[in-house]
Amino acid sequence: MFRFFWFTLKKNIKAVWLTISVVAISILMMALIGGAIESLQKTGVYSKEIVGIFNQLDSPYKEEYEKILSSDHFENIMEINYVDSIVELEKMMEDGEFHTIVIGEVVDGKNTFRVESVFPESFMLPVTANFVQTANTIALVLENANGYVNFEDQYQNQVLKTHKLSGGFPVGYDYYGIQTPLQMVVILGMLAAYSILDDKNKNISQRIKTAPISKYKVIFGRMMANIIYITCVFVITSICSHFILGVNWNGNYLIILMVFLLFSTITTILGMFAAVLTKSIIASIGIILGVGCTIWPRYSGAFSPYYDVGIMAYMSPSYHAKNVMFATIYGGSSSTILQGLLSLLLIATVLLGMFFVAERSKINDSI
Amino acid sequence: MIVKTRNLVKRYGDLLALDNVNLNIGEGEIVGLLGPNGAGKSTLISCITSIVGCDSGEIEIFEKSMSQKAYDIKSQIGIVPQDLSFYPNMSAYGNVKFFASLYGFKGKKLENQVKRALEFVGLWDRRKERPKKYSGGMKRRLNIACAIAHNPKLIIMDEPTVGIDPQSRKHILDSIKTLNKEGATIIYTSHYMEEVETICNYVHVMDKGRVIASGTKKELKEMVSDEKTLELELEEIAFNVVDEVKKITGVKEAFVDNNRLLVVLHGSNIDEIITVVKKCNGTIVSVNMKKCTLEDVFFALTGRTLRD
Repeated sequence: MFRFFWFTLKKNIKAVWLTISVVAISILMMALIGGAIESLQKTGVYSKEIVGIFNQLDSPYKEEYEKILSSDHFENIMEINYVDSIVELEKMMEDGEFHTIVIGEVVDGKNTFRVESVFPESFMLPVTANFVQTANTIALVLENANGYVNFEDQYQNQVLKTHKLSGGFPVGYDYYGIQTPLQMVVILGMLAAYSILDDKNKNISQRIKTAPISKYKVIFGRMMANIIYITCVFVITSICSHFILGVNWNGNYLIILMVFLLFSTITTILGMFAAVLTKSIIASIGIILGVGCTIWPRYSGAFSPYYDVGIMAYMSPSYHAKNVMFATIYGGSSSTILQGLLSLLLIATVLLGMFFVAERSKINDSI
Repeated sequence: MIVKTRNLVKRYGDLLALDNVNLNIGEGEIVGLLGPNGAGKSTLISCITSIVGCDSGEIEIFEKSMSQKAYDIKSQIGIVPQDLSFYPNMSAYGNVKFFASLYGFKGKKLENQVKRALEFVGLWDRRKERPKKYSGGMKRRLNIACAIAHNPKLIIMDEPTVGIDPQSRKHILDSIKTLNKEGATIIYTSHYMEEVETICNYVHVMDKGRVIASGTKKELKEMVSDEKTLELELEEIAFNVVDEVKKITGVKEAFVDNNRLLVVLHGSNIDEIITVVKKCNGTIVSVNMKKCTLEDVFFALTGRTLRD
């Protein structure tokens, strides 16, 4: 197994230009898209925020709050919807009908706000915070619906603190600095596909099949080499993004490394699966670009922070990888981290099963 | 027996690639598998080496049942595939070392094995070069080196001389004889009957997935005929020479083709034929005895030539 591990690893290292290209394009994408989105998010031009509000504050706060929100200033950047029940509001949020929900109610005799948003910088946060500042007795609790921003603070002295956990909200560079490697490094899955197809094209698989070595040792040797290599590219990309663009990776490094390893495993298996399935490097690259670089990132919000959370998102490893990393960097809950890691592990296992089924069904002419 | 197959059957969809093939290959033999393209030679080799599974039948190698997981058997087999089978961008040394390492060699022992194999095929001096820069003949020799570095007892060569110059072909054929002298049993497939005739001491003739004849070269030729064709090149052809030659005992047929007299005969009555030709005032320029070849054997058995 180690012979194939070292052999494949050395071959991958020789693909240095591919690696440099992937890292460079990732950084470039982060700089261009992240920078552009950052400025758009900050100016609010990017998209209209759809807000759901359940307002059961005491008078006169209830009326005052609604009066502020009815101002013409917010018309172009927010669409306000009032809902009569918290359950309904939360369900609509889950269904993706709202980007942001605001629950204003009396808790323990105090007028309290809870703001949840899929947007790292929802306009409802400063708007509501300003209202709290002016309305003397209201406590504000901010949370993020996605789990990656767990912002809980009981504001003392009626002053809003722009409390940044572990460095701040993921906006612009920070957001895309994490999304882009997940989207770009998948391309290196083609190395895994190539490691199988190259041997087949050069007729070397025939020699390997006649050697006294288990087929599974060959497969796992190659797989491990690709996983380690892709993980290293992840690490290099994240370090470069930090030093060049200042992307925030300041979370639990062990958890981040685990995400890299699991995501690299999924990427590698995807490449090998595509190779066994299609027996063509071009078709394999097509599958990797289509699935790994387009469909998975689409459901994790790589093309836009405003994305639909549905069943497809749960099947996307990019979605889980991103959630775990945002959670560890921005102080998300441990359940979010655990759930994400387990989901990645499950996806890797299912994909590995699919790979072996495909490999066994083509046993006479594959590995 | 080194290799024994019993009623081997392999199908690819509707195509019957191997049809109840029975083979017995003894130790120290160079066995030729002769047949045209598509006869089933490569499929037979793939089944013997467990590259592909067979649909039915038994394979025994070194008197043990062969399977994909029979690693002890596999460790004693070297295969030279029909197509070149190495990494063109890795040095010749690196290639042989990698493939030898799959057989469990390590360290100094591995290096010695690699050196021995590369010296054997005459590529030691160019070991650092990448095979993509090699000539066709050198690539073929490297293909062999990758198969023999682990000292296999059974070497299977699937058309190892396809598309190379006569000099490299001679080198490879000589190498095969040397390997055989060193104790290796060799299975050699080819549709070049001259090669099989040169190096093999036992031949299985295959066609359409079946072994249609087996035996030593002599046995196979006798199976078809003991006829020979004597070719005499003459300065002038006398009008009565054909009739006179036909009267000789053992002469089956005689005819003239340009300035050549062709005589089909049984036995060894060549002296008498030459005497008769001289009596007819014929001046002999050259004499050539054409013997029955394996090509003729194959033609007699199948009605087709090997390159059909």
